[in-house]
Amino acid sequence: MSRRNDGSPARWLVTAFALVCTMAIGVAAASGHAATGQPNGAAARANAASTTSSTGAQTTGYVGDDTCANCHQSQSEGMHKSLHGKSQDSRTPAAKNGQTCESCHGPGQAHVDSGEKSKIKVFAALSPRDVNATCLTCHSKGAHAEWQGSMHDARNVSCTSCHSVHSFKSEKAQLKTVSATQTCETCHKQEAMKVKKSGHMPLREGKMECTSCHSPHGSTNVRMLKTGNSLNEACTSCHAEKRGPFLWEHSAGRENCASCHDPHGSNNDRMLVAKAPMLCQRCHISSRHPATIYDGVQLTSASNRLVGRGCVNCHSQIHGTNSPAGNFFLR
Amino acid sequence: MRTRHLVMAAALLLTAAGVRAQEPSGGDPNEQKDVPKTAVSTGIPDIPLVNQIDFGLRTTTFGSDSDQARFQRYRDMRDGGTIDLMKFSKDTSEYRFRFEANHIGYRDQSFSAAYNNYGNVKATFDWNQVPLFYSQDTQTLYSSTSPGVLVLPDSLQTGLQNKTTSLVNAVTTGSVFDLQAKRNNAAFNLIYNATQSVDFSVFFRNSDRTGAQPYAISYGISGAVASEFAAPLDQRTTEFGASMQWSNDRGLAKLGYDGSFFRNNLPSLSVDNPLRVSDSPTAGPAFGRLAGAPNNNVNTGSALAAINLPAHSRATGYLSISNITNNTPLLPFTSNTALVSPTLDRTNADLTARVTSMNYNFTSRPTNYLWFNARYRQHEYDNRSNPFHVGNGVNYDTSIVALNENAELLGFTKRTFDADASVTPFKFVAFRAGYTREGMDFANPSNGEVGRMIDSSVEDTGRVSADLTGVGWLTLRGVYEHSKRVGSGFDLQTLLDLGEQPGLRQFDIADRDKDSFRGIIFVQPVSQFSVNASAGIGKEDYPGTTFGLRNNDNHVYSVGADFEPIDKVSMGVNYGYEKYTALQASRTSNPLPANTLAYLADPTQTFNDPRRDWTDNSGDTVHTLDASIDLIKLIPKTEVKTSYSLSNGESTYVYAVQPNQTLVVAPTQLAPITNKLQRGTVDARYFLTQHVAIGVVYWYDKYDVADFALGPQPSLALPATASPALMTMGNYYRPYSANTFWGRFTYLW
Repeated sequence: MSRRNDGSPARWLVTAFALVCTMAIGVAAASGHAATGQPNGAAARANAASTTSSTGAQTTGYVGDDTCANCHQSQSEGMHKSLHGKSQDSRTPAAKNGQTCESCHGPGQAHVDSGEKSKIKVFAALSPRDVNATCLTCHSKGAHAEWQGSMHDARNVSCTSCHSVHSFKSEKAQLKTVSATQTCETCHKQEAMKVKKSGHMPLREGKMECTSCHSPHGSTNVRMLKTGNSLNEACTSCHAEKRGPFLWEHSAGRENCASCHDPHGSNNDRMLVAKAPMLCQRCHISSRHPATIYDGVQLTSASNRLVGRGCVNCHSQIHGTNSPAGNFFLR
Repeated sequence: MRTRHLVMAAALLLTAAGVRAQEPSGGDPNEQKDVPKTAVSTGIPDIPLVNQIDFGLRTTTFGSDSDQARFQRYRDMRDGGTIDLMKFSKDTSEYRFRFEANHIGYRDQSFSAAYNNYGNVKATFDWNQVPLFYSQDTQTLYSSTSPGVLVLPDSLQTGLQNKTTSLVNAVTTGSVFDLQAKRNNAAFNLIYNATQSVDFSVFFRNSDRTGAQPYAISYGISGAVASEFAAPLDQRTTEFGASMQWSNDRGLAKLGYDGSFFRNNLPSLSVDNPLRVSDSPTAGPAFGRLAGAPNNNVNTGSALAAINLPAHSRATGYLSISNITNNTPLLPFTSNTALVSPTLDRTNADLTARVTSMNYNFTSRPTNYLWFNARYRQHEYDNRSNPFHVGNGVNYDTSIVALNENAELLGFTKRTFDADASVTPFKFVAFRAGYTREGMDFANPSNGEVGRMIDSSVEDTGRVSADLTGVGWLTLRGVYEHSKRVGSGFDLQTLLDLGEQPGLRQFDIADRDKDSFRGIIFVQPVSQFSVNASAGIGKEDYPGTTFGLRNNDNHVYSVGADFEPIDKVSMGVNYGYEKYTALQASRTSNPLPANTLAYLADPTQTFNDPRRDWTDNSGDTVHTLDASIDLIKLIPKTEVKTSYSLSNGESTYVYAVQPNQTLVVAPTQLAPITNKLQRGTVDARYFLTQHVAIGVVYWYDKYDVADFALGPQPSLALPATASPALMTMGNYYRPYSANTFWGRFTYLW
């Protein structure tokens, strides 16, 4: 293999620059003033605090939860059953001293006075990004810290596409469907079909969910993967025996597990994207046995490169090996 | 087994208790019976009671020759008593506690508990067992004398070595056993809300993997037998992490540490060679030895910061640095004592990799009409190990070969820049255009060694999408992408050194043109009825590829409908069609003589003869159907849920040769591979009272499969002749049909 000697100083510079940038953002966030143009929930909360008297009475445009519940009883009950309704947690809308509903919907006096829907924030009438801006006022950290710029954000998905504040069906995460997997299947039809193939992760059996691997709110990894910083790091977080580094490595495997495996499912053994040896022959055609036509004649003679696990009957250490004699992944 | 009996006894006792619960109570006559917690006149709550225990008896009958292991696969479906679900929840104004257990006493049992002291602490604990049942009738001649050592009877090896015994006959005497593995996953998470803006979190996870998996070893190319065996598993992955996060309206900062430690208690697997009882310098070893998956440690430090900026903007920076080590003691080159094992360059693996990842993102929505995002992502895998030099190596424990090479230290750097802009001309509609440049540098950062046939590649992707979302009756999404990948620094000599054709390109790094479209539409004209349809079309061409994967296409379509005429009846159906095709090419030939470059133009070399070219056109077609009908209390106090699921796939591999070919008479085509997986379920439950329900469940499962390579073979020794080249365990893909009956008793409170 060729050798190229470059990049080492550049790498350090890039890493140092990255560290400085990350720290600068953090320091700026920690010490800066509240930015203008923030999502309106922050301002709403600030307003709410300033306009709430010590007894919880509202003075400027707020009517309080009891007034809302007069007409919106079911929504009020649904919300109070959820975590949003737990006033013990000072971060919840319920902790806003009687302004649970108005923390998200904004001051309701004008709506109450006129009876017009247009006088209050109705989420069904908001654009997806306006909906999200409201939710992100509070849900901007932890798993949600990477929402902005995520694939779902880019595709105009709103929080209320999947979640319901007042009427949810799941036991966790206030989803509109019973399970996270059902929610994902609503749009991701192709992946949902793959999961039903004979070779699949144990999603059908309820031992995993889409969210076992993916973070639907965005992540620092590719493909909204929850763990690690590359597809392989996500895979090897469970399949750690394939993590290496190995003395002898399979370059395709080192770079991308999905070159050979389809993690959503396939009809091939071990969720391979094609059957061995045909899959292996997509990259290896060197003289002699990798370039053989493994047709019916080979099947009749029960070639050990075709029947059973094909190439892996011998090259069983294909993910890498520590054996000094493992240069062909035989040991 | 013992646990299962206990569960059965418990289930029977609980059943009796449940029956008693329906008998008139001798308690307070003023106590209201069967009054729902919600005011529903039927006595059945609309809001389900949260606590419940579900227990009963289950049995499964199988069709003849059914593969019971594949039916169970990731489940434990043995007959007996079940406590299928136990759920308890307590919610106060101060805290919420939730406990849930599933399939108690079976190999697929799981337990979870969550405690949320509102505003203070959130803690969760999960225990999840995932079985993997390969086969219930696997057969092997091997037995284990100590962990990781699989032996054959010496008499058998002697007989086979001396050709007085036939392997075809011998394999029929193998012992039958269950081949299965299991993961036990434990996870604990805790988040402590220290202040309004500061959170501390820790997690601990442990995953054990035990049992055995099918594996194989070979002892030579010709005249040897590749042997399949049940490789024992005794592995553990332990992870620990802690982080501190500060956040408020202005942004957030987070520092974290993650550690992951993999331990394999079987550092090597020694497996007897069926054909040799004694080591030979020419005919191979008495046993071969595989290196076990090596222990490894990963320590990662990361920092994440985000700041909210004017105009609905946010900048995010993330940096992560990991150190991965593997310092497992190395095995000798060979287990064959008749060979002088070459000297190891060092005694331990002493391998280290540094992974540096960074991710910078800027998102802005300056007006309601405009959104844009720019992201730079870099992922560098730097193998910092010292070179491991191999002067002489050993092939198949059979021969010493001069290699005089270093083990490759593979590393790479991936840099991705994304820019997307979206306009929202109407409230619910967004049009987006985006561009991505992804660069791969295949040089290992610390030493510049390139482990691939090209030095680097760049892929440019353009995309447009339209999304209509947020409207109650209509959702419409579509995205089209075109990308072009071009490599540079092609190294012909690298290919030739491997004996590969100059026209070969490896599809994962080859020049590629890619087009794809995905779209989906939901229409809900009335609240009771909705239809949906989706389409995915993709095409990949590898323009510089003569040999290897040349192109592949995929077409995926689905249509579905949901109908809920009244709130007690709901039904849905979804049909999907998938078609994948791929074309690959190769040439069957002898290798070039040494000094290969000089022979590339030599027409007498079969290596250069285009008449020896062949192609393989593969196709996968899959039909998927899902249908369900739920009747929730249409009949008073009764719930009935039915569903049907089908995945029906066919894979073909069709070979073609040149018209003037000199290779074979004509390829004999392989039979199509078929996989048809069906499941039908009926789940009926009758509420005797608000608290007590009885139910019956019926599952129909059927799997039809025909696979020329993985299906049943005439013998465990293949070919079934005097000179087999493969000894299998009979871990085949076989069909099954199963009828599962389940009587259930549910107590809710």
